[in-house]
Amino acid sequence: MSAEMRVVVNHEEQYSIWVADRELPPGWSDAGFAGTREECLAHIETVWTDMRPLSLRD
Amino acid sequence: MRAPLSPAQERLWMLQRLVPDDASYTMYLVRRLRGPLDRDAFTGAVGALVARHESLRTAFAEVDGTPWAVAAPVGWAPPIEWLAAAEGQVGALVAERSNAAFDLAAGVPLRVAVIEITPDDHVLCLTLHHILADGHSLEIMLDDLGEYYAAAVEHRPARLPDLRILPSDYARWQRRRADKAMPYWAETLAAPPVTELPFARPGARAAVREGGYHWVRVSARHLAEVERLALAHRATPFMVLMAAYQALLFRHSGQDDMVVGTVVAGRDRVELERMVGYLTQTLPLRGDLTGDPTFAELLGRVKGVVLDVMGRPAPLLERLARGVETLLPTVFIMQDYAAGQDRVCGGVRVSNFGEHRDQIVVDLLVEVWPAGDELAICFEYDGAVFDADEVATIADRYLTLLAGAVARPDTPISRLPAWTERDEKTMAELAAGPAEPVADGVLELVAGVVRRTPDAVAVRCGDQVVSYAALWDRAGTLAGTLRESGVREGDVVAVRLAPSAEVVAALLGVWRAGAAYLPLDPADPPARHADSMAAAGAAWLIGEDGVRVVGEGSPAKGIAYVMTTSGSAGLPKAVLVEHGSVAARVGWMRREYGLGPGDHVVQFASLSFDTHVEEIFPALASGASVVSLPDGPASLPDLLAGPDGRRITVLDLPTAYWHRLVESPEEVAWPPALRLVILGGEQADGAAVARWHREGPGARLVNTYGPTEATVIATWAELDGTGGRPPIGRPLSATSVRVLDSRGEPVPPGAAGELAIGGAGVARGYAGLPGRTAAAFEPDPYGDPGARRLRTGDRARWRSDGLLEFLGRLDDQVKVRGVRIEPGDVEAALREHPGAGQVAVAARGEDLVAYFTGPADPAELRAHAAGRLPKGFVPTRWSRLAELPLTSRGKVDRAALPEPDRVTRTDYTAPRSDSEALVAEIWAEVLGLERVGVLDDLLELGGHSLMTTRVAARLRAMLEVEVPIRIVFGCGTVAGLAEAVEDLLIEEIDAMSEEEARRALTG
Repeated sequence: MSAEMRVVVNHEEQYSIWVADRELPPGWSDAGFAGTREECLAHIETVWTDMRPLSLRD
Repeated sequence: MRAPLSPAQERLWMLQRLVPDDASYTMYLVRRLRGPLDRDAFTGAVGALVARHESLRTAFAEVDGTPWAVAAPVGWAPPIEWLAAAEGQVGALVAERSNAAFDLAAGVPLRVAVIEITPDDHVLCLTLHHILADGHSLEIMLDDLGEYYAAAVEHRPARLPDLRILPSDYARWQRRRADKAMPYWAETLAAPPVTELPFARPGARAAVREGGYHWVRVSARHLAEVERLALAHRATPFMVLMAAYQALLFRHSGQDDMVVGTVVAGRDRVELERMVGYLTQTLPLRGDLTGDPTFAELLGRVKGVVLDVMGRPAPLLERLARGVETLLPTVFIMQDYAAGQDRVCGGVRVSNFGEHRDQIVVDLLVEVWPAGDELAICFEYDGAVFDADEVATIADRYLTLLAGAVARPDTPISRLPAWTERDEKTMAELAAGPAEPVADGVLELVAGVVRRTPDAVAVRCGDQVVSYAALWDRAGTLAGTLRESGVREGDVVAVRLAPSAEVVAALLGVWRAGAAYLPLDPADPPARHADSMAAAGAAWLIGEDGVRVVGEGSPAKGIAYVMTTSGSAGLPKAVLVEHGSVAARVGWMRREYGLGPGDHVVQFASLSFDTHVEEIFPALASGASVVSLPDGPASLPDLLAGPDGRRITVLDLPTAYWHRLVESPEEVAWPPALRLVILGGEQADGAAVARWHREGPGARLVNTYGPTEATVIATWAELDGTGGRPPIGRPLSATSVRVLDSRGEPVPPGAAGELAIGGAGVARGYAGLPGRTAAAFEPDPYGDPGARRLRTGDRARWRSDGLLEFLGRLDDQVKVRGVRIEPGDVEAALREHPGAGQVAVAARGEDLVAYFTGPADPAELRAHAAGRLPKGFVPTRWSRLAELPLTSRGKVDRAALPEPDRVTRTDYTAPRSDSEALVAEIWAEVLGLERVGVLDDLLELGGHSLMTTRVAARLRAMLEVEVPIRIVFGCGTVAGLAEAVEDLLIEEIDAMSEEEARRALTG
């Protein structure tokens, strides 16, 4: 099955999802995971463990 | 001799009866006749024409509510009205006739007028009801009339082929065919969608439609491409044009299932070719655009559907569940004949005369005409549903999409070019609100007011009056206590206090301690408080008994407050809102609301709504007074009536509550100082806004919209009482708003999609919920690098005036009396009760209705829910069902959940009065049922519009009272109709003299 979404991350290490074949918006990079929307969100549950923006972490 | 009507005629007859003064179905044949006109020959030709065509001699009689066609014998002819007028007056005479409705009970609905301009220059104006003829018939009539006239002038017999079939034969035949086709249509049109049209305001439809026309052309080059593509797919140009139209609608609504009508001549048998009659068939085409097909794939699907329905008789719409207006708001037609060609008959040159049509029968009708090597397309629209500019925009987009589709038919329809350059420019302009100057922190602003005006009143609560200095002191003391208790920067502190000056001091105190507050409504049950504190990561609680530790916290620096909202799994979601977001909002509100010392702002909202932020902080940052309601929001009218209330200048009210106040002006005394009312939470009602400006206190009215995740509000609109359904407006400063299609691309005005909000108000996320946060907060391609925007789940559309309108939810979330509720949240709580069984929760007006299948008593379930849920979440109506309705995919079919009223009334209810007995008997007879309960829904029992005339006829016969069909049509139950009939009888008796009344009652 073709991947419809991919996991993306910004400079504050905030995660989100983005339609796989759409250009990445500035300031976001590919987090190396693609799949269905549900798969991507499940992946984010496992990797986004510290939800504080990077600049506000101790 | 009488004959039955064809199904299409029967429908027209019914429609004309429903709105007798509607001229939409008046057809006309208007032609300029240049040359010497022989009046005797003309009169003879008209006589011969109506002798030849039975249809043109047909009148309609109603017998027991059923219409019959009664043809006058051969030899009957309509009188010809001979008029004389100057050229300049002819247009008005023609318009007067072609825009006049026909009374179908008053003889043959055909009129002929000839207007003499000069002896050698006339205008023929022939008008007739559509029930007699169709567009092709007009051409036939003109041909035949011309031949009869020429024959008379030339003293020769007319040369016309014999007609072998009569319209009455056709009607009988067509009725049988239509009956046989119904199973096909019932299946094809099962659960039909309501096709949404760009820009359309279907709610604005009037009983009698008026409208306009917009013409565009498809160039010869594009037409050649259309023909080439059609040929390559063994399809017709019509199929290509129809596919492009469906794709256009899809791009505006996102609907991948739609119904678009088309009209076919219905003359596919040689005997029917030269017959005058109403033969055209309106065929609903179900469009399947699922799975984002390429244009070529869509063309293949359209071809399949068209081939499948062509040649079938139209469905009997009155037998389908939904009326034609909602089933077929739009019709797309390709005409294959060029109408109105000039001709010469018996020395008279016949040519077109002017444009004077304004009959509109559907919201939007697109008619394609051959025009040399080009196509002319006419967009004919209901002027109440669309503006002229909007239709012009639709036409431009259609041509854009058609050109792109034929150039690259392998493009998925979601990516075809549909928007014009102007659209792209408009989208960019509308999206961004004005820039916000660097917003000062709220706490710093309040501190500034404390320094400048320490003695001014900050908070007034009943007898309690607290100055800015005192408020600041209390907040400082509390901040100290919090720090001593271990609160550090970024911690979350719950605040559970009744409305008071203390609450305001507590919020400021938490901020002064560097923490974020989690507001809790003391009226909610402790179990929900515990859930909220766990979700927000609050470790401390400020209650009536002071500060105490309640658990483990999870700190979140930079957060101003945490609001819990309804979550779908029975647990609240905690939204983290940053100080920067609050500062941006407060900055805009202070400016736009014009707040300053001297303002008195009521703190109406419960702390569990983020509206409290809008009420408290802009006021305190501006040196105004906050007026608390110690007895809760319900006491607002008491406050307004009292001395403190007379000073109130600004009110921020939930829209639903404001509606109620406007509806019952006797219950509220608006303060003389009131200058601004801010609404939010629900769709504002246009009638209430109009009433406010007509009868209200004259204060400015502002509508606001925004989810908690975008910090209180994101858009606003001035409601000045103009322009129909109130909009939610435009973005606030430092805010961007876009309407997105299913791919996440922005769409221009007229197209509906999901509202996305970017800018300073975007919240940090949901505490401890990375998946949900990632789903709702996505990259904002238009913001700063790395910025995020909120997908609201709300459906909206830009209007052509550049203001947003709210269209509803894309998911199950509901709002009841201004409270945002996930049905799943309530359902999860109810399911915990062992006797609840299966549960579904739905909003119905101002009620949250719980449907359940278990044996539990509703009172028990209510008590259970009240112990777990915020008070606004507790269902207010309860309905036990044998089972929950399910969709084909096995999910609860929320749309199929019954109205709670009907749920309790499924049993037969016997008539309770003579009038109910009579009405029930009539309905049972007409429906062919043994009995009809007085509370049964007549439509559910199979009642349809045509039956209503029979019911009205029987009532007239038995009671000698004229019951308008619209009343019969509008009464859902026997009880409703019986009541309406009684009212009519009483009116009639009131209108009689006493003597007459006595006779009527005793006779």
